[in-house]
Amino acid sequence: MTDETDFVALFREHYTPVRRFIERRVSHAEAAADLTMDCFEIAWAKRVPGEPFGLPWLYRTARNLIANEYRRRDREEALWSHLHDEARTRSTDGSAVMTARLLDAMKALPERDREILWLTYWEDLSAADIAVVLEMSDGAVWTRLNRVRAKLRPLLSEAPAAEGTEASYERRRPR
Amino acid sequence: MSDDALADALRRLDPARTPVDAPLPLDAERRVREIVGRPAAGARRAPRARRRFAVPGVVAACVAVLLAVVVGVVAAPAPSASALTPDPLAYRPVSDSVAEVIDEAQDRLAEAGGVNSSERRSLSLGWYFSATADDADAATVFRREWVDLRWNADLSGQIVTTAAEATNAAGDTVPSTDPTPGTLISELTFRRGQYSPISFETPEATPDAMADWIRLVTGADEIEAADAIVGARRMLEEWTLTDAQESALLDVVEAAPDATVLGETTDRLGRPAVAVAGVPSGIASHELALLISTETGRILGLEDTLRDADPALKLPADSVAEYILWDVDAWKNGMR
Repeated sequence: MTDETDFVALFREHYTPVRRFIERRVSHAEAAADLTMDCFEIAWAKRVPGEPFGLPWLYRTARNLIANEYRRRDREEALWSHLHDEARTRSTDGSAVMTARLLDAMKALPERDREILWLTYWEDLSAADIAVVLEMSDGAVWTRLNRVRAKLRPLLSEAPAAEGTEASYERRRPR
Repeated sequence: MSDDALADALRRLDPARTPVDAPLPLDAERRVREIVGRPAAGARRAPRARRRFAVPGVVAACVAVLLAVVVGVVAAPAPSASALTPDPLAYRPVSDSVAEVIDEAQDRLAEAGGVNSSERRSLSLGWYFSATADDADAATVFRREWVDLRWNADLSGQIVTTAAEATNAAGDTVPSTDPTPGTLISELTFRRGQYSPISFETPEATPDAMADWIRLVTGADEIEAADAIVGARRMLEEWTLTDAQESALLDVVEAAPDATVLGETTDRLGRPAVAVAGVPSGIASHELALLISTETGRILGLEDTLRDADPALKLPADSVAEYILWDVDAWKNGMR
């Protein structure tokens, strides 16, 4: 195996997760595709032969790239607008209110708490991996995650009974 | 409300658009090949600032099948760029005009026994060369490969790329480091709805319909010979056309005011052909030649040749930048 071959193999393995990671945070599809490749270009430039990079490292790199995008405020606003549009499209009539409430609550979270939430439920990362991405301790991840969950749970409890059936979404079941 | 319910609610809000099991985009495969073909640490450059040299205009307009070829390509240090390019075809001058050459081809196409129904399939034998402006010594060499695209009306499909044998043309050798001919280089499968063709249906077999289609895919207002040739290529990279459709395509080539006849030749598979050429207005350093069979009238292939020396690529004038051949089923199946 050569350095290039190893890298291409890792690229193939991690491309889609990284692309999805960025799509969750950048609303513009073309920008998401470009940032994905930029992320791997950095990975190639910073690679250490024999020490393959992992997803958490790629996610951390992608976060930095996305932060550059966000320096323009309208990018972040566009993301939230996109999230609301997407949620409206997928929601049944009954679930729309709860969905909007959940999105508003997520938007109001501190950025790091929100990232822990997304990395947990969208990227399916463990606390240890989240700690690598966010450069913090496992314990701090757990503490913050539990605090965020406690904050969000009441939003669901107050939701109308008919909302949010599985049939209303074509999303994969949680692993 | 349980944590599971919260998890379900959050996952339902996941805005990622790319499916978990989506095939790797072909342009991403191409980009990563460019990335690993560059110098190592400390050499990072702005990704979109790079210039790709392989048949610039044509590549820019190229379709998925050409990109699929790149999937199987391995970045390799090139001993010298010119040593890796096949000899250009030799043309014997003919006195016929473009109109006469194409009229003769259309007469042959009109004879019975040809292809009467189009097919969502493109089988090609191609060779491509590419390098980057900043490091021509570490050129990416695109090997000779069979590319077999089959796709369906529901937009499912498959692209299979395999290493190809040397043809019998002079200078058309396979480097010893290449995979054994027949080696499967890549296999891309598209599930229903995933393949994105340029054209869902073929245009009608009329010159006007073909011209409209070529204007659409090339952006040309006034179709020049190179536009018509690029348009033909894009069509043939997704479809096997009927004889009537190929005849209509040739009408568009004939109508191009700058089309020239290069002469008669035998293509890289030994098939007798006549070549009609054009120079892309945006990249005047290249000449595109459309090879038309003098036996059947069908389009056999395309040759892209440098008109001028390219110091960045270290290629002299008349070097072949790429070729692609169609109507090659018999060769792929070992019948020739």
